[in-house]
Amino acid sequence: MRPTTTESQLSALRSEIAERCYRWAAKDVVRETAEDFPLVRKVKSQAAYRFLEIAEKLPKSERLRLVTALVKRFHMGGPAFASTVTTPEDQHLVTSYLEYDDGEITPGLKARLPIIRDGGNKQLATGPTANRVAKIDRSALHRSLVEKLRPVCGSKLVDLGPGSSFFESPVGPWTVTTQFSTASRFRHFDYWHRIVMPEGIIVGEGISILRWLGISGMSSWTLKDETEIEGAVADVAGICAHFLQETPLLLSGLEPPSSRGR
Amino acid sequence: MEFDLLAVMLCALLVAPAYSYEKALPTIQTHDQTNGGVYPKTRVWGSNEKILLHFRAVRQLSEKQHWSWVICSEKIVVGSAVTYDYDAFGNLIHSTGTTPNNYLFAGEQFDPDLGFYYNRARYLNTSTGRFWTMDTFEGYDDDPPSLHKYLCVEADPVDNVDHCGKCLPAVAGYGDIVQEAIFADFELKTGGFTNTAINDILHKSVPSGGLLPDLIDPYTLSSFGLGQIWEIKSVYSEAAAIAKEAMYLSVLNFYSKGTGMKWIPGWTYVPPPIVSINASPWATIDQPAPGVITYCIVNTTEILSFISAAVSAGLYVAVSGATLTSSLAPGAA
Repeated sequence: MRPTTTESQLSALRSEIAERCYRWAAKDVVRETAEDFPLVRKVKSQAAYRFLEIAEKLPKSERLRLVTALVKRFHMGGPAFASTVTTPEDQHLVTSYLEYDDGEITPGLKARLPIIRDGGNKQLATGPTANRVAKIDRSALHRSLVEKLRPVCGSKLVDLGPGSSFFESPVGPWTVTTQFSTASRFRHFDYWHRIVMPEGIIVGEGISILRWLGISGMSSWTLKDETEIEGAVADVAGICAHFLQETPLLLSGLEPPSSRGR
Repeated sequence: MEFDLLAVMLCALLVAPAYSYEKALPTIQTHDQTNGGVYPKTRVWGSNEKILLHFRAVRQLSEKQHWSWVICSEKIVVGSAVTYDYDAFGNLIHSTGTTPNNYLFAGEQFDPDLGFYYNRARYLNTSTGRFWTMDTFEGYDDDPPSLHKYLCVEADPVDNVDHCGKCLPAVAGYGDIVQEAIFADFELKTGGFTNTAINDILHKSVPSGGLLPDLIDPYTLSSFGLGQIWEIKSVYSEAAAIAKEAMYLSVLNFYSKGTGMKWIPGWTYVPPPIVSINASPWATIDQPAPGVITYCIVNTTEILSFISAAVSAGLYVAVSGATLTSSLAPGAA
């Protein structure tokens, strides 16, 4: 089936944005590695813990090789772009990352199960009661997210239903949204950014700290109890601010398609 | 009034570090005079803290039994014996002893003026099995009793306990753990997202937008304008999984018109064939249809029990058969 002109335009635009995001993330991951992953450490999820555990076992030069390979994973603007940046060594490192299993703590499949940390001792919490997230007041959590993200992510808040909302922030002709949800029972909240055309069509999808670094698909938080809400919300606001201040440069010179055939 | 001071001190030393009712203690009656005759207050504990600790220790040991509706153990307080029998919800059936005491069912403080128990987060009315005020937790969609705002221990006081006046601490089933494991694998390998509302996927509020597909991958086939979703269910609910998948797709595709995106049943992601929950049990994973992932929990202990039972039954049949054969044999008595 031959795509229509509009679909071609959209596809090209999405590829261009994916490539720009990759170029930016490739620089950002160097900074993150040099500073010993300050932003990744703010994310309270097993995926982040697992990554940090792997990274901390590596010497600094090896860390950079790993993260440079990982950062290419989720920015693929189509097979052509992916093949130009991914090397066999990258693939080997990514495979090692996916298959990482230290035999006692975080096998890949169990990356979401809690790790009990008691000083230097760690063990994977398993069993029927191990993985249910703590019960906290999600309405209060959502209110707190709205309050803390508003100064960072734009004044316009759009409600998407129970526990889900997004802020809109205009960047030239584009809108960058910051979406957050407290709806899933498997985590307390997650967030991601999107880049949206003036017509409301999404051209940049799922941009969040763990994803742009190639660590995992979602950047989510699972808290121990309500006392952690304030700190976690401040952390996510800081991470959002880090990305949003880069968006004018990221989208500079990029114009939405002037006309769209319907 | 006599008591073994040494035993009391020893008991206090042993139990005090694990004790968790400190917030309730200041309201213990220590007055030794009447209060205008309206609310007579009797000297109960005296001023000797060690006596109080003695009571704590005994109560701590008997707390679990209250919730299981085993007749509570005897409590020795200041030389007097007091016993309480409750029904499963904590209504007092029978008591002996005359020592005034407000720390009753499950060791919680009873407020005689209100007629309710003070469970810290909320007051509990044991006669109705309901809390006085609403639960602040909204509950889980897949656990209907948890959605009830006033129920105590999800109306099942024999199996559940309440420690703080909040909604029952949930117990995850093995199915949740299997889902978590698949979520982790999916996010790690595909960069997709999991258990996300359709409203969030579409970036707009639509009817039925609160539905949450399990696995969502808008990336892998994005160059073809395709997004993929999967539904995870127990192998016994395969038909329900297929129906839900179809429902998600119809909603997503209906409201994706004009966005250049079509949603299809997922097929590029291959889940792990086995998820180890613990040493035992584990789960086998299958993809019976595009977009549908099923799991089957296999419990080693149960399998071994079954094999053991089957072998025993076989032996029994064999022995019975042999006995029957020998008893029917010519010349048998």
